[in-house]
Amino acid sequence: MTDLSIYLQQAKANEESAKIAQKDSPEWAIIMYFYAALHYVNDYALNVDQLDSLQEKIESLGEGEKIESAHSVMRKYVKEIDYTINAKKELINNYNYLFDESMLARYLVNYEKCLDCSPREHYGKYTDREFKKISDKLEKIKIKLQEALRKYESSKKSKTK
Amino acid sequence: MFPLHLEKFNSNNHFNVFNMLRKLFGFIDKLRPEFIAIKRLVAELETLPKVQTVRAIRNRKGNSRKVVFEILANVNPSERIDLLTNAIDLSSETEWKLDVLTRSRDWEFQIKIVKNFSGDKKSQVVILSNDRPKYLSPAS
Repeated sequence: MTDLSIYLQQAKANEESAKIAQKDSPEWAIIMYFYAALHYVNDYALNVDQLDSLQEKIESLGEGEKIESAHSVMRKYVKEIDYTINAKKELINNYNYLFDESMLARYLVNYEKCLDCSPREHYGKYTDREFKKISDKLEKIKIKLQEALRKYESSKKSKTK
Repeated sequence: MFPLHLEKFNSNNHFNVFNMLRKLFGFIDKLRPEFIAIKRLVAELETLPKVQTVRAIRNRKGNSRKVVFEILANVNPSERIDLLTNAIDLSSETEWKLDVLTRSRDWEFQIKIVKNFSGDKKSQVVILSNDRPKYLSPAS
Protein backbone atom coordinates (compact mmCIF):
# COMPACT_ATOMS: atom_id res chain seq x y z
CA MET A 1 0.00 0.00 0.00
CA THR A 2 1.34 3.39 -0.96
CA ASP A 3 1.81 6.32 1.43
CA LEU A 4 0.91 8.79 -1.30
CA SER A 5 -2.38 10.66 -0.87
CA ILE A 6 -5.15 9.93 -3.35
CA TYR A 7 -4.61 13.43 -4.77
CA LEU A 8 -0.91 12.90 -5.33
CA GLN A 9 -1.57 9.52 -6.93
CA GLN A 10 -4.17 11.10 -9.25
CA ALA A 11 -1.89 14.04 -10.04
CA LYS A 12 0.89 11.67 -11.08
CA ALA A 13 -1.54 9.52 -13.08
CA ASN A 14 -2.88 12.60 -14.88
CA GLU A 15 0.65 13.78 -15.64
CA GLU A 16 1.48 10.38 -17.07
CA SER A 17 -1.76 10.36 -19.11
CA ALA A 18 -0.92 13.83 -20.43
CA LYS A 19 2.41 12.62 -21.77
CA ILE A 20 0.80 9.58 -23.40
CA ALA A 21 -2.04 11.67 -24.91
CA GLN A 22 0.31 14.19 -26.56
CA LYS A 23 0.52 12.10 -29.72
CA ASP A 24 -3.03 10.92 -30.41
CA SER A 25 -5.29 13.13 -28.26
CA PRO A 26 -3.32 16.36 -27.89
CA GLU A 27 -6.27 18.38 -26.56
CA TRP A 28 -6.64 15.82 -23.77
CA ALA A 29 -2.95 16.22 -22.99
CA ILE A 30 -3.64 19.90 -22.29
CA ILE A 31 -6.63 19.03 -20.11
CA MET A 32 -4.71 16.38 -18.20
CA TYR A 33 -1.78 18.72 -17.54
CA PHE A 34 -4.24 21.09 -15.88
CA TYR A 35 -5.93 18.34 -13.87
CA ALA A 36 -2.51 17.15 -12.74
CA ALA A 37 -1.83 20.70 -11.49
CA LEU A 38 -5.23 20.81 -9.76
CA HIS A 39 -4.56 17.59 -7.86
CA TYR A 40 -1.03 18.68 -6.90
CA VAL A 41 -2.72 21.72 -5.33
CA ASN A 42 -5.29 19.46 -3.61
CA ASP A 43 -2.46 17.33 -2.26
CA TYR A 44 -0.76 20.45 -0.90
CA ALA A 45 -4.05 21.57 0.71
CA LEU A 46 -4.40 18.14 2.32
CA ASN A 47 -0.88 18.30 3.73
CA VAL A 48 -1.42 21.74 5.26
CA ASP A 49 -4.89 20.86 6.65
CA GLN A 50 -6.73 23.26 4.36
CA LEU A 51 -8.46 20.78 2.08
CA ASP A 52 -11.70 20.60 4.10
CA SER A 53 -12.14 24.37 4.19
CA LEU A 54 -11.34 24.57 0.48
CA GLN A 55 -13.92 21.91 -0.35
CA GLU A 56 -16.49 23.55 1.94
CA LYS A 57 -16.09 26.79 -0.01
CA ILE A 58 -16.67 24.94 -3.28
CA GLU A 59 -19.64 22.94 -1.94
CA SER A 60 -21.32 26.09 -0.63
CA LEU A 61 -21.51 27.57 -4.15
CA GLY A 62 -24.90 27.76 -5.90
CA GLU A 63 -25.73 25.13 -8.53
CA GLY A 64 -25.60 27.55 -11.44
CA GLU A 65 -22.17 28.89 -10.59
CA LYS A 66 -20.39 25.65 -9.75
CA ILE A 67 -18.12 24.99 -12.71
CA GLU A 68 -16.78 28.50 -13.16
CA SER A 69 -16.77 29.46 -9.50
CA ALA A 70 -15.25 26.23 -8.21
CA HIS A 71 -12.28 27.04 -10.41
CA SER A 72 -12.34 30.64 -9.16
CA VAL A 73 -12.10 29.34 -5.58
CA MET A 74 -9.13 27.16 -6.54
CA ARG A 75 -7.51 30.02 -8.42
CA LYS A 76 -7.86 32.28 -5.39
CA TYR A 77 -6.38 29.57 -3.19
CA VAL A 78 -3.38 29.15 -5.51
CA LYS A 79 -2.94 32.92 -5.49
CA GLU A 80 -2.88 32.80 -1.66
CA ILE A 81 -0.14 30.15 -1.72
CA ASP A 82 1.85 32.30 -4.14
CA TYR A 83 1.51 35.28 -1.78
CA THR A 84 2.51 33.13 1.20
CA ILE A 85 5.76 31.86 -0.26
CA ASN A 86 6.51 35.00 -2.24
CA ALA A 87 6.70 32.96 -5.42
CA LYS A 88 6.65 36.13 -7.51
CA LYS A 89 3.55 34.88 -9.35
CA GLU A 90 5.38 31.90 -10.83
CA LEU A 91 2.89 29.53 -9.23
CA ILE A 92 -0.32 31.37 -10.08
CA ASN A 93 0.75 32.38 -13.59
CA ASN A 94 1.56 28.82 -14.62
CA TYR A 95 -1.61 27.52 -12.95
CA ASN A 96 -3.70 30.15 -14.78
CA TYR A 97 -2.09 29.26 -18.07
CA LEU A 98 -2.99 25.58 -17.73
CA PHE A 99 -6.48 26.44 -16.48
CA ASP A 100 -7.27 28.82 -19.36
CA GLU A 101 -6.01 26.37 -21.96
CA SER A 102 -7.93 23.49 -20.42
CA MET A 103 -11.15 25.52 -20.58
CA LEU A 104 -10.53 26.06 -24.27
CA ALA A 105 -9.60 22.43 -24.93
CA ARG A 106 -12.28 20.83 -22.77
CA TYR A 107 -15.31 23.11 -22.81
CA LEU A 108 -14.46 24.77 -26.15
CA VAL A 109 -15.04 28.14 -24.48
CA ASN A 110 -15.10 30.66 -27.34
CA TYR A 111 -12.94 28.30 -29.36
CA GLU A 112 -14.20 29.63 -32.72
CA LYS A 113 -13.12 33.08 -31.64
CA CYS A 114 -9.72 31.86 -30.45
CA LEU A 115 -8.64 29.14 -32.87
CA ASP A 116 -8.58 28.59 -36.63
CA CYS A 117 -9.57 24.96 -36.20
CA SER A 118 -10.78 22.47 -33.60
CA PRO A 119 -8.75 22.13 -30.38
CA ARG A 120 -7.65 18.66 -31.51
CA GLU A 121 -6.24 20.08 -34.76
CA HIS A 122 -4.74 23.10 -33.00
CA TYR A 123 -2.91 21.18 -30.26
CA GLY A 124 -2.09 18.51 -32.84
CA LYS A 125 0.27 21.08 -34.39
CA TYR A 126 2.33 21.06 -31.20
CA THR A 127 5.70 19.36 -31.54
CA ASP A 128 7.68 17.99 -28.59
CA ARG A 129 9.10 21.50 -28.22
CA GLU A 130 5.66 23.05 -27.60
CA PHE A 131 4.57 20.26 -25.25
CA LYS A 132 7.83 20.72 -23.36
CA LYS A 133 6.82 24.33 -22.72
CA ILE A 134 3.49 23.09 -21.33
CA SER A 135 4.99 20.36 -19.17
CA ASP A 136 7.56 22.87 -17.86
CA LYS A 137 4.65 24.91 -16.52
CA LEU A 138 3.47 21.92 -14.52
CA GLU A 139 7.03 21.33 -13.27
CA LYS A 140 7.23 24.93 -12.03
CA ILE A 141 3.91 24.49 -10.22
CA LYS A 142 5.20 21.33 -8.53
CA ILE A 143 8.44 23.03 -7.46
CA LYS A 144 6.59 26.00 -5.96
CA LEU A 145 4.11 23.76 -4.12
CA GLN A 146 7.03 21.77 -2.66
CA GLU A 147 8.57 25.06 -1.53
CA ALA A 148 5.27 26.05 0.07
CA LEU A 149 5.01 22.72 1.85
CA ARG A 150 8.57 22.99 3.17
CA LYS A 151 7.78 26.47 4.45
CA TYR A 152 4.64 25.21 6.18
CA GLU A 153 6.48 22.28 7.79
CA SER A 154 9.35 24.42 9.04
CA SER A 155 6.95 26.96 10.56
CA LYS A 156 5.01 24.11 12.19
CA LYS A 157 8.23 22.72 13.67
CA SER A 158 9.29 26.10 15.01
CA LYS A 159 5.89 26.51 16.70
CA THR A 160 6.12 23.16 18.46
CA LYS A 161 9.63 23.88 19.84
CA MET B 1 -24.96 66.20 1.77
CA PHE B 2 -26.65 68.37 -0.91
CA PRO B 3 -30.10 66.94 -1.84
CA LEU B 4 -30.75 66.68 -5.58
CA HIS B 5 -34.59 66.59 -5.26
CA LEU B 6 -34.95 64.70 -8.51
CA GLU B 7 -38.70 64.30 -7.85
CA LYS B 8 -39.20 68.04 -8.54
CA PHE B 9 -38.05 67.72 -12.12
CA ASN B 10 -40.54 66.85 -14.80
CA SER B 11 -39.98 63.60 -16.67
CA ASN B 12 -37.93 65.09 -19.53
CA ASN B 13 -35.74 67.02 -17.14
CA HIS B 14 -35.33 63.91 -15.02
CA PHE B 15 -33.82 62.13 -17.98
CA ASN B 16 -31.58 65.11 -18.69
CA VAL B 17 -30.33 65.09 -15.10
CA PHE B 18 -29.92 61.33 -15.24
CA ASN B 19 -27.89 61.59 -18.44
CA MET B 20 -25.83 64.42 -17.01
CA LEU B 21 -25.02 62.38 -13.89
CA ARG B 22 -24.19 59.37 -15.98
CA LYS B 23 -21.77 61.40 -18.06
CA LEU B 24 -20.26 62.89 -14.91
CA PHE B 25 -19.77 59.46 -13.32
CA GLY B 26 -18.36 58.19 -16.58
CA PHE B 27 -15.80 60.96 -16.48
CA ILE B 28 -15.00 60.29 -12.82
CA ASP B 29 -14.62 56.58 -13.58
CA LYS B 30 -11.93 57.41 -16.12
CA LEU B 31 -9.92 58.98 -13.29
CA ARG B 32 -10.27 56.01 -10.95
CA PRO B 33 -6.97 54.21 -10.27
CA GLU B 34 -8.53 50.87 -11.23
CA PHE B 35 -9.46 52.22 -14.65
CA ILE B 36 -6.05 53.84 -15.12
CA ALA B 37 -4.32 50.56 -14.20
CA ILE B 38 -6.48 48.60 -16.65
CA LYS B 39 -5.84 51.19 -19.35
CA ARG B 40 -2.10 50.95 -18.74
CA LEU B 41 -2.25 47.16 -18.91
CA VAL B 42 -4.13 47.28 -22.21
CA ALA B 43 -1.38 49.55 -23.58
CA GLU B 44 1.33 47.20 -22.29
CA LEU B 45 -0.35 44.16 -23.81
CA GLU B 46 -0.53 45.98 -27.13
CA THR B 47 3.27 46.27 -27.19
CA LEU B 48 3.71 42.47 -27.20
CA PRO B 49 4.87 40.93 -30.49
CA LYS B 50 2.16 40.20 -33.08
CA VAL B 51 -0.57 41.95 -31.07
CA GLN B 52 -2.92 44.12 -33.13
CA THR B 53 -5.12 45.51 -30.38
CA VAL B 54 -6.54 44.63 -26.97
CA ARG B 55 -9.84 45.21 -25.21
CA ALA B 56 -11.05 44.66 -21.65
CA ILE B 57 -14.42 43.06 -20.92
CA ARG B 58 -16.38 42.19 -17.82
CA ASN B 59 -19.76 40.67 -17.09
CA ARG B 60 -22.65 43.06 -16.40
CA LYS B 61 -23.60 41.04 -13.33
CA GLY B 62 -21.50 39.17 -10.79
CA ASN B 63 -17.90 39.87 -9.86
CA SER B 64 -17.04 43.23 -11.41
CA ARG B 65 -13.40 42.66 -10.58
CA LYS B 66 -13.21 39.75 -12.97
CA VAL B 67 -11.89 41.21 -16.20
CA VAL B 68 -11.14 39.39 -19.45
CA PHE B 69 -8.50 40.91 -21.72
CA GLU B 70 -9.03 39.91 -25.31
CA ILE B 71 -5.85 40.12 -27.35
CA LEU B 72 -6.38 40.34 -31.09
CA ALA B 73 -3.41 38.61 -32.71
CA ASN B 74 -2.60 36.41 -35.65
CA VAL B 75 -0.21 33.84 -34.23
CA ASN B 76 0.75 30.25 -34.93
CA PRO B 77 0.38 27.60 -32.18
CA SER B 78 3.96 28.01 -30.99
CA GLU B 79 3.79 31.81 -30.93
CA ARG B 80 0.46 31.56 -29.12
CA ILE B 81 2.11 29.77 -26.17
CA ASP B 82 4.71 32.53 -25.79
CA LEU B 83 2.20 35.33 -26.23
CA LEU B 84 -0.21 33.86 -23.70
CA THR B 85 2.64 33.27 -21.24
CA ASN B 86 3.89 36.86 -21.56
CA ALA B 87 0.39 38.31 -21.40
CA ILE B 88 -0.47 36.36 -18.24
CA ASP B 89 2.78 37.57 -16.64
CA LEU B 90 1.91 41.19 -17.42
CA SER B 91 -1.73 40.91 -16.37
CA SER B 92 -0.94 39.34 -13.02
CA GLU B 93 1.38 42.26 -12.19
CA THR B 94 -1.56 44.64 -12.59
CA GLU B 95 -4.00 42.27 -10.89
CA TRP B 96 -1.78 42.14 -7.80
CA LYS B 97 -1.25 45.90 -7.79
CA LEU B 98 -5.02 46.33 -7.74
CA ASP B 99 -5.32 43.77 -4.94
CA VAL B 100 -2.93 45.92 -2.89
CA LEU B 101 -4.67 49.15 -3.90
CA THR B 102 -8.13 47.87 -2.98
CA ARG B 103 -6.91 45.82 0.00
CA SER B 104 -8.49 42.68 -1.36
CA ARG B 105 -7.51 39.61 -3.30
CA ASP B 106 -10.61 39.65 -5.45
CA TRP B 107 -9.24 40.87 -8.77
CA GLU B 108 -9.28 38.16 -11.37
CA PHE B 109 -7.79 38.88 -14.76
CA GLN B 110 -8.03 36.43 -17.61
CA ILE B 111 -6.28 36.56 -20.97
CA LYS B 112 -7.80 35.38 -24.22
CA ILE B 113 -5.98 35.47 -27.53
CA VAL B 114 -8.61 35.91 -30.22
CA LYS B 115 -8.79 36.12 -34.01
CA ASN B 116 -11.66 38.62 -33.96
CA PHE B 117 -13.84 40.62 -31.58
CA SER B 118 -17.11 39.11 -32.78
CA GLY B 119 -19.79 37.28 -30.81
CA ASP B 120 -20.15 39.67 -27.87
CA LYS B 121 -22.70 38.48 -25.34
CA LYS B 122 -25.43 40.71 -23.91
CA SER B 123 -24.22 39.74 -20.45
CA GLN B 124 -20.83 41.35 -21.14
CA VAL B 125 -19.71 44.94 -21.31
CA VAL B 126 -16.59 46.25 -23.03
CA ILE B 127 -14.95 48.50 -20.46
CA LEU B 128 -11.98 49.51 -22.53
CA SER B 129 -11.11 49.24 -26.17
CA ASN B 130 -9.07 51.48 -28.40
CA ASP B 131 -11.82 51.17 -30.96
CA ARG B 132 -14.73 51.85 -28.64
CA PRO B 133 -13.81 53.60 -25.38
CA LYS B 134 -16.30 52.92 -22.60
CA TYR B 135 -16.20 53.41 -18.88
CA LEU B 136 -16.36 51.23 -15.81
CA SER B 137 -19.82 51.51 -14.33
CA PRO B 138 -20.12 53.35 -10.99
CA ALA B 139 -21.22 50.07 -9.41
CA SER B 140 -17.93 48.35 -10.24
